[in-house]
Amino acid sequence: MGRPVRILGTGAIVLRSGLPEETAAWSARVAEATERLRREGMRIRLIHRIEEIALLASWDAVRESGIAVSSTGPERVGIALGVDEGIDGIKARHCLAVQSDGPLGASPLVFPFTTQNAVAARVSIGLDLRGEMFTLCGGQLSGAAAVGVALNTVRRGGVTAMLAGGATSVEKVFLDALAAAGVRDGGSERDGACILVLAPEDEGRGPEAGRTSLLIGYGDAFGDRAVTYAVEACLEDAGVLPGEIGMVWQSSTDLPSDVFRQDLAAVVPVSMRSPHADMDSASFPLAVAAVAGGQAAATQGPVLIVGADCMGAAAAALVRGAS
Amino acid sequence: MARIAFDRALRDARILPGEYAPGRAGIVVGTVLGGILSGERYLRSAGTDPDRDRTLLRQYPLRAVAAALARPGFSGPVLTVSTACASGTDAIGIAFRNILGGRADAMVAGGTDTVNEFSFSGFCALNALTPGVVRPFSRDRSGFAPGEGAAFLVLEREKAAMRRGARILGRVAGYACASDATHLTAPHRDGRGLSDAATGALREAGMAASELDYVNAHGTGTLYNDWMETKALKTALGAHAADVPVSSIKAVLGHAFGAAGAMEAVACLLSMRDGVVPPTANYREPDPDCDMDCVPNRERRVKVRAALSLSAGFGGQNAALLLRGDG
Repeated sequence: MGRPVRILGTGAIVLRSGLPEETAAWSARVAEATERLRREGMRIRLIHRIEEIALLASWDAVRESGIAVSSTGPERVGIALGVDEGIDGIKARHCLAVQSDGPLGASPLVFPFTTQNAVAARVSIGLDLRGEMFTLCGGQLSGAAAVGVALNTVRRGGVTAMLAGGATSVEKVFLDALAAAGVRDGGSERDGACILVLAPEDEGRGPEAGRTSLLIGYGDAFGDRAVTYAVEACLEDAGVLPGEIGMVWQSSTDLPSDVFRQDLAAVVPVSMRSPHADMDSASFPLAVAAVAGGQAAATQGPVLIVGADCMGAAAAALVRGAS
Repeated sequence: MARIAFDRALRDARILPGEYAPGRAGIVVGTVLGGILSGERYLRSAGTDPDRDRTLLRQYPLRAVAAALARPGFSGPVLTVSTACASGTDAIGIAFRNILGGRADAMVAGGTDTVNEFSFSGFCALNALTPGVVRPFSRDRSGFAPGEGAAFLVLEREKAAMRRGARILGRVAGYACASDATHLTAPHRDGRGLSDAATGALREAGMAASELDYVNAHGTGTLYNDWMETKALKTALGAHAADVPVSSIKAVLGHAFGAAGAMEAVACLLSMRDGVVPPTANYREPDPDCDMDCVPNRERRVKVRAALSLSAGFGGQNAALLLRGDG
C-alpha cells in the first residue's frame, strides 16, 4: 500500500477550435503570456498550440498550489507529462517539407518540436523546473501514465512537488488518418491540457492551499483483462476495498462502453462518463482534476477514475477529499 | 529490431510463460521516434498505398511500440517513455522504480529507434551530424552519426531471480534524472542537470564517487555535449573524475537515440562480466576541456564492480543509471 499524495493545484484548458469566440479569447491570453515571458527575460518563442496550453495550464496549477518554485528549490520540482497524438501535426509538417524539398526542407526551428518531450521541456524552461522530467506516450492514457510516474516519484521522497498531466492538440492530419482507418467519429479539431500539482501529504496544508484532495492509489495494466487488473492494482495500492468506493468516473472513450462496463463490473458496479473523455492524452488528468475540484469532497468514499485505450491498456486512480 | 532484442532478453533470462502472476509483470520501452518509418510512408503514399490507412496509426501512438511487444504474461504496466536521447535510460529507471515501489515483480525495459529520413534531415538542419568520423572527447570532434538498434534488460527482484536460479548479470543500484530547464536543443553549459542526475544515482545507491570503476558517457562527439559532460562529471565525482575510466561507445555504434541508453547499460553489464572497459574509438587529439581518462582507442582490462551510465537529450533531459556487479 502506498502513501497518499496531495493534489495541491490543478490547471485545465480545453479548447474546441471551431468556436471563434474561444479562439479570440485564447489569442489574447497567449499574447499576455508571451509578454510575461519576455518581461522575465526568457527568450521563448511559442510555435504551437500544444506548447501554449501546456505552459499556461502549468502556470495556473502552480499558482493554485501556492508553491513558489524559485524559493522552494527548482531542482525539487519536476514534471511528468503525457503527450502522444498532440504533436502529430508538427511531425507531419516536418515530414512533408523534407519529402517535398529534401533535407533543405527541414527547419531547425520546427524539428526540435517533433520529439514528444519538447512540450514538457518547454514547461520546464518556462517555470524553471529542474527536477525529474518525464514524457509518457500512451494514446488516451498518456496523461494517466504521467500521473502514475509522478505519484511514484513523490512517494519516493526528496521532491517538493511534481507537475503531472497531459496535453493534446488534435489536428486535421490525425483526424484524416482516423477516418481512413475506419474510425467513424474521431471528433473535431480540439486542444486540451491538464496539469496537477502533486506533493507529499504534509505539503501545502496552509490556508493558501487551493485544493485539499488526495490521490491515494494508482494502477495500470495491459491485455485482455486490463481494466480489471488496473483497478485491482489501484485498490491494492490505496488499501481500499471495492465496497468502499463512492463513485466511478470513466475518463476515456476508446473502448465501447458496453465492453468497458462489463470489464469494470467485475470489480465495481457503477460508472459515469467524464465530460472531457475525448481529450486524448489530457482526458485522464482532466477527470482527476474534475474529481479533485469538488466531486471528491462531495462523495462519501473515494472516487475511482478509470480509463482504457484501443490498444488494450487501462489505468485507474483513486481520489478522495481530505479534511 | 525491438521484437528480436526483447525475445533474446527473455530467452537469456530464461523467463517461461506464466512465470509471473497476472498483472505483475510489465514493459517499459524508451523511444524517440518509434514507428516513424510508417509515418514517413503514410505521408509519402498520398492515397496510392492501400495499406495507408493503417500506417499513420502505427506512427502517432508511440505506445504502439510497447504494445507490439506485449504478450501473455506481461499484463502489468506497459509504458512508452519518450525523453529524447535519454529515453532508454529513463525506461530502465522507471521499470526499476516500478519494482521497488511494489507495482511489479518483473519488468522488461529498454529502448529502440531507427535511422530514418525524418531525423537525419532534422539533425542535418541543426548542424549536429559529423561530415566525417565520430570522435567523442577528441579535440577535432565534429558531431555524431545516427545509429539504430534495440536493447532490453529483464529486471526482477533479486531474491526472486535467485529463487528460480537465474543468471544475474548485475544489479541496478541507483537511478536519477534531472532537467536543465535551459534550452530546447543545447545542454546547460556547466552540465547542471547531468551532474544532478549522476549525484542522485550515487545517493540512491549509497555509494561514494570513488567506488565507481567505470563511466559509460553519453559522449555524442558534438562540441558542446562533450564539454558539458566533462564539467558534469567533475562536479558530480570530484577528484575521482580525473581517475575513473570514461568512454563512449557511440564512436562505434553511432547514436541510436532512444535505444542508446539501453545499449550503453548493456555495455556496462558486459564490462562487469568480462572485466574489460570498451574504448573511445577514433580518438585522435586530446581536448584540454575534456581532460578525463577517455580510454582512447584500445579496450582496457579493469575489474568493474560498479559502473555509471549517463544519458542526455534534447529538451534538457539528463539521466544516470548506476549498475553494480553480481556479488
